[in-house]
Amino acid sequence: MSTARTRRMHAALGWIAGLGLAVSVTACGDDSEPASEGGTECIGAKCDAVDQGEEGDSDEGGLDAGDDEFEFPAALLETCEQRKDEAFKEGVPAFSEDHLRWSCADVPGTLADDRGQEYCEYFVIVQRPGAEQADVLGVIEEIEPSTEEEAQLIEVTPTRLDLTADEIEALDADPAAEAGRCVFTSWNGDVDACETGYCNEDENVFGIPVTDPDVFRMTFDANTYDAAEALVNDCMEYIPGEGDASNPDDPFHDDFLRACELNSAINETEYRKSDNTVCASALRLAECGCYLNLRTDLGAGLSQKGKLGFPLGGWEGREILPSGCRYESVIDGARQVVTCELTAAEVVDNATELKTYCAEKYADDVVVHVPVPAASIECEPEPDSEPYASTCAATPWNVTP
Amino acid sequence: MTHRGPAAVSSTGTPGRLRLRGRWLLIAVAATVGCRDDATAEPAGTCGEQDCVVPDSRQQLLEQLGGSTDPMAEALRSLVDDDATVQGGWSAVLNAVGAVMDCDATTERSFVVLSNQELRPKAIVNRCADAPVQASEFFMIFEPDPATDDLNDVGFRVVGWDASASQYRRYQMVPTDDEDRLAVAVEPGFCVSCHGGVAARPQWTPIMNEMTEPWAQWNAEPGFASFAFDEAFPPDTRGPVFEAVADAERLDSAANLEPIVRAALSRVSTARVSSREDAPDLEVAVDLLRPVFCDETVNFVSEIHDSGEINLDAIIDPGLRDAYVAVGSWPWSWVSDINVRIEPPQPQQAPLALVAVRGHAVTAAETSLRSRGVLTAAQLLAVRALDWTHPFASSLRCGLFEDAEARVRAGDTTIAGDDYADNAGLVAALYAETMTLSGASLLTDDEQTVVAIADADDPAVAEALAAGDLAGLSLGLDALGEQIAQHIASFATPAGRQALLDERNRRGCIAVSRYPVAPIIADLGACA
Repeated sequence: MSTARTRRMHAALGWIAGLGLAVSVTACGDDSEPASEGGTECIGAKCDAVDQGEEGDSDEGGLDAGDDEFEFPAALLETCEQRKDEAFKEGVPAFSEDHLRWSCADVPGTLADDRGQEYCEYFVIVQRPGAEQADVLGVIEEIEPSTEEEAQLIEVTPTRLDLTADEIEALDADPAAEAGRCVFTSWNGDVDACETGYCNEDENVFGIPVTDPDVFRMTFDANTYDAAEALVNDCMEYIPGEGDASNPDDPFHDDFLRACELNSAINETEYRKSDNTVCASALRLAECGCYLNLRTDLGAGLSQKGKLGFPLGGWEGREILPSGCRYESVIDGARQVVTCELTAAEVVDNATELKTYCAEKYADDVVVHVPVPAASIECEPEPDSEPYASTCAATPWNVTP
Repeated sequence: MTHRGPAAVSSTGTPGRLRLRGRWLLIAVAATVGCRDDATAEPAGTCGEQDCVVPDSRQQLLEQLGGSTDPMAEALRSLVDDDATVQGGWSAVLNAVGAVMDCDATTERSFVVLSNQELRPKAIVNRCADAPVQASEFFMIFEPDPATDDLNDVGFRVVGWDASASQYRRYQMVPTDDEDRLAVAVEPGFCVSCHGGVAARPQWTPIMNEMTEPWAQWNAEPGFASFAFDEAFPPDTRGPVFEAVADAERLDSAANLEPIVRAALSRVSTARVSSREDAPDLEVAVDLLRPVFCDETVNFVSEIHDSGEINLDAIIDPGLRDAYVAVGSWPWSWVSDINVRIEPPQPQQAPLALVAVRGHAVTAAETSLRSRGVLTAAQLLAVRALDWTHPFASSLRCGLFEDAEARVRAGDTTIAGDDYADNAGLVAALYAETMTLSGASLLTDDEQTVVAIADADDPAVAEALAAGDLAGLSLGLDALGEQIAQHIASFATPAGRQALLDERNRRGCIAVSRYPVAPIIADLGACA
């Protein structure tokens, strides 16, 4: 059974010159149309959708912009090129035939309380000597959910651990002993673990059950299954800007940059590694007429429907973690929660900002993997109707520089 | 609340192989990588021949081992025969140590780096590599053998962590007349010239020149791509020993050595700071305070291929960032950023490789002082704000320390060890003495204000400092932080990239001249 694809929206609004369209970023309402039906999925930060105006919902893309009317703002292009450099980093490319990937490390420039932008949030658990309960440092907590008018309100628990002299002395007594763990989680904020599989309720990290969603599940409303699915669907359904055919250097001719611009227009998340990577693959799947020959669509398929979230691994392999790290089985076989060791000496030395220390030591090496069901994807490019279909490779989701 | 938005060891003149000529012989050992037996005796970059002693009986070896509890000592106790030699070569030693550590051969990993001996590869082997803290109890190091261009499998080195003494123990394996037997020198002194840093501290400290991605001169695969390593790997150095030590099954990425070395550095810095509560001793106090001002060790960072992304340590002292974080919350991303974006290289340009930065061992020692209350974050900030655009090799900062140390040793100050309860108290006094310049105090009365000197090499600034004129140099932490943010941003331009390249070359020249462990740095230009 194939999944029909309908491309209905034109998203390059913000950068279209001369058409006089009103462009604004708005919080979404609860009544947003499912993306698979052509509407803009309204999910958290992904709710920052482009107000299309009346034309935006037209079946034919709403805009009949000429090829030479698309502009790629310089600042956006710079950001997109940075993301592209990362995506095609030598030896660790974001794209392959069977998966997409990026590290949990946030891009340079991310403010402390915004860390966790890449479908991967991280925090620290420390067991003080003699303490009844472990400290959870730098975990993101939702204070108020996003509404039609307001973005999600969050709070980050303190990242500073104030140790007493006695505690320091106790930790120094065995400096190589494990005293904490860095936690990396890709467990989607809108997925209930116990509905997904058998909960390992006895599994814990320093006494904190790994099934506790308030701790181990992601919180940012962009870090959800719905947001991931919406991202895929939106990038498949919106039509990106088109480059000037007479200018081979037009950035719109570049698959990654074109998708980055599209992602910016839809979500304004061009600063994220994850969104641009997923969007680039999704866009190429759309441009190349691809569909899943399964009972699901690509949005659900790529977004890991029925799973806790995108699985975590390392650069060396999907299930090969950096040394010192291990999986915590929220449910049997789950690979969405990874913890990495912290010694007593490391806890003492970095007590003022253990979250940064965890990021520095591990975040570059803990990798989010998006499995691509390559064997189930079929593509039927239509160069006559799709500007970039003529450049479709056999595996178009494996975007190349 | 926010909204989201050895070379070999030779006394016979035959390089490459050391032969045991008899029992209790003095064995001349040519140290590798340009290390010296006396940090002040020879210019860096030359190798003096040095001696080490090997025991001639098991009993003598056991006496030398004393009560050492490190894995190698434990292994030797069961491994050596009556003549104090070991049969079976490096693999026998490795297996014996593995048994002590309860780490079997499946946990063994080899890490390969290009040495500063004509870029010939050297290898480090660990057991229990998946458990970095445990793995950091033991390192086996294979140096290149100039005679064969292969790794030296009879003159390899071993270090093991002695938890009872809180220090690493060093061992130099020595070939004998029997090709299947190796002698062992316990705690040879020559290691210190490299592993003790430029201050020649007697404690062995691990050296991993590049601790962060992309590990230019390391094998970074699997998982990452090697670039300088692959490009510069000398042909004809993959001899049988190399192939055996670093075979495909063992060979691992530098990414997985990094946490092991971090764990080792943590062991050393924790042990170092543990003397803070001991009775005051000037030598100990000087040793504790020195890393705050002087770069005992050096590390190197490289641009991640041609991405324009590079570790922030290249631009900003990590100690400055840590101190800022410790004293407050700030609006700049640089306080939590690990990497920074600079102008990417043009197509004809090479990535910035091997930028010298403040050594991890040094920053770890500084952090240990702060975290245990020997010095406050504000006190460290006051130091880090001095010559802050030069995070590495600041002659101002180290000069302050050396001048103060000389004054104290000459009795030109009121500092007397007996006046303090412990080394921590003495360190605090030394710190205060050090933070004076031409009679003027570099300390302020307000912890939110520091004497900030961006570039101590600026002639006008240098002239004012020489006169003790600090007028106008006091700056609030907010304002300094903003200047730092702007400074970082300035490297995102072509001119900024060129400035960092110039600074890279300046630091590279210093590193090569001062640190015998410095790697070979390509395209450094002429060093004064």
